[in-house]
Amino acid sequence: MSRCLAWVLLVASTVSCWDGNEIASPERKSGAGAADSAVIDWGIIRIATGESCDPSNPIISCDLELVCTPAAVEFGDNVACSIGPEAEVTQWRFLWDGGSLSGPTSGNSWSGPVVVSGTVMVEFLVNGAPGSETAAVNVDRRSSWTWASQVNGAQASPGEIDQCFSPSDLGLASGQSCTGGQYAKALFTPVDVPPVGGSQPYGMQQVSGDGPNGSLWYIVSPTATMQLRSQVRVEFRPDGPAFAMVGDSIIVTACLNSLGAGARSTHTVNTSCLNTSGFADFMSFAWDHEADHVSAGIPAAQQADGDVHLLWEPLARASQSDLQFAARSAFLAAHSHISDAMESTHTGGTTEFEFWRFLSGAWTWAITVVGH
Amino acid sequence: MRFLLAMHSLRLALLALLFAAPTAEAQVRPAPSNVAARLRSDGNNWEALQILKQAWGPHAPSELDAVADTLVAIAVTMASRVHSDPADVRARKLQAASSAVETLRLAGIGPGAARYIGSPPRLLRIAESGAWTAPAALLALTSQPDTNQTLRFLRQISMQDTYAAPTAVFLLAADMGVEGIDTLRGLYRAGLVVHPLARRQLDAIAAQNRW
Repeated sequence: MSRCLAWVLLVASTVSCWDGNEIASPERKSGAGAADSAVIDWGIIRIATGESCDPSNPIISCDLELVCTPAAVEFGDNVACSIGPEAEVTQWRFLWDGGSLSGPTSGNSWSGPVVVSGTVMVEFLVNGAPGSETAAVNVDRRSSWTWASQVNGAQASPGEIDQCFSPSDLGLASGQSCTGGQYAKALFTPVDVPPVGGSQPYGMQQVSGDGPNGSLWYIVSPTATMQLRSQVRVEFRPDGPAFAMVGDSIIVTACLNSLGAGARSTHTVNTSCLNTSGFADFMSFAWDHEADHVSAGIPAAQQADGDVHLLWEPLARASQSDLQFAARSAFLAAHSHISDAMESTHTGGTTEFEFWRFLSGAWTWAITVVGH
Repeated sequence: MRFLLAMHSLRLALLALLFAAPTAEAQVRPAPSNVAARLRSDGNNWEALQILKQAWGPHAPSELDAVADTLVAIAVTMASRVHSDPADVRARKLQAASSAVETLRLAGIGPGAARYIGSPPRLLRIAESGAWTAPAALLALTSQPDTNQTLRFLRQISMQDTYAAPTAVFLLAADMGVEGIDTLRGLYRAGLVVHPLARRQLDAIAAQNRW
């Protein structure tokens, strides 16, 4: 398609135009129908018009069409672009949604393997006047780039993701690789996309040659995954810490009578020393609550907004650092999408549970308030 | 004769239009208004970046802002979190929206005088919009040259009950060095983070740093 900036005046059957320097009368093209349809050989004039070259338009001829074949190409296959010999090429470019790549500054063809759809642009002179032409290159995307069947969730095993609890968390749903600090709520493995040189959750390859995509970097073999875990604070679990039996005499006596002397965990105190229904209800509520978060996170990760592999597939950039930046952008955006979906299971309101807890150095009958 | 006079008038009018164009290469260099229009139709970010970096010559600030505002509109509307698009359409829209963010990022980086200073406030606007691209806009802010401005903007988002607040807290901790940690400590001690997930994230950061 041409992109130009000239002007056309049609007066009766007379066509005049301006090429940037003077108004000139274009030549009629010879050939069948030429006299009747006023087919005009615009040459450089068409270049300067801003009109799109339209083969169906009898006013504008398309001698200088940039052609790229095949129009649709498999990922990694060759595309060949060429323009007529009357064009004195000054610059080839490839434009895509990730940037632009400057190609050769001469020659009437440009070819090579391609990995990303975009636009080939050629700038040139014809009889000293500048012009440009563009042609689309459509690359078929790689299939099976989705993590939809790989993302999963499960109840955490004892100790798993304990390090990710905030002080206020009674339960937690997070990624199995989460750590403390800023990665406490990390859902993915790995928890972040490190700078170039680090251990990337994908491979990076470069398009060979000096064609339209020559030297572009793209992603291969993504390994990022999401394995969610639901967990309840260790204080309440059977593997939780044991505390000395001091405090309220009711529970101290009950434990001494049923289990003998010795420190006991919250779980043991509420299930073995006494069978506390409030504690059983609390544990059931906590596990269910966290499982709801996990259940909301998985379908969110299977949507386009949260599918990191799908989001990474079309990325191609001129440098490894730009590719890393784009990959991390998608990673963070997907993470936010899934986190938000997981948060959305909070319905508001609270429920109170009464059971024995070790607070301020003593066992006491306590009310634990849990948000929905 | 009347026809020739008309032709002459037209010629003068066209000359006036041409010389109103900003550069000597006006014949093949599109005007900012055309670029903004084409951004909406075919997402030609390359032209937008050339305009914002003034690679083809200087433009009025209002012209630059019009192109940048179009990028913001693409970044927000194409990535609206309320949609009914099929997955393949959605993926393409998200890609286009992400590219708009990336173009603003690159325009704001420079080099030198070619830097478009309107990028950071527009990235902030995308972040505040709550669009899917909001986290990417915040990440783009971290690569802008004015670190103090980035810290201010990340702090601002951290304090809002908005979609991107958890990302703002995360980036302050992960990408903004000592100043980012100091900013978070101030937010934590003053209890200024209100988004539930962002607050729990900050609690975890505080626990790790023993604040």
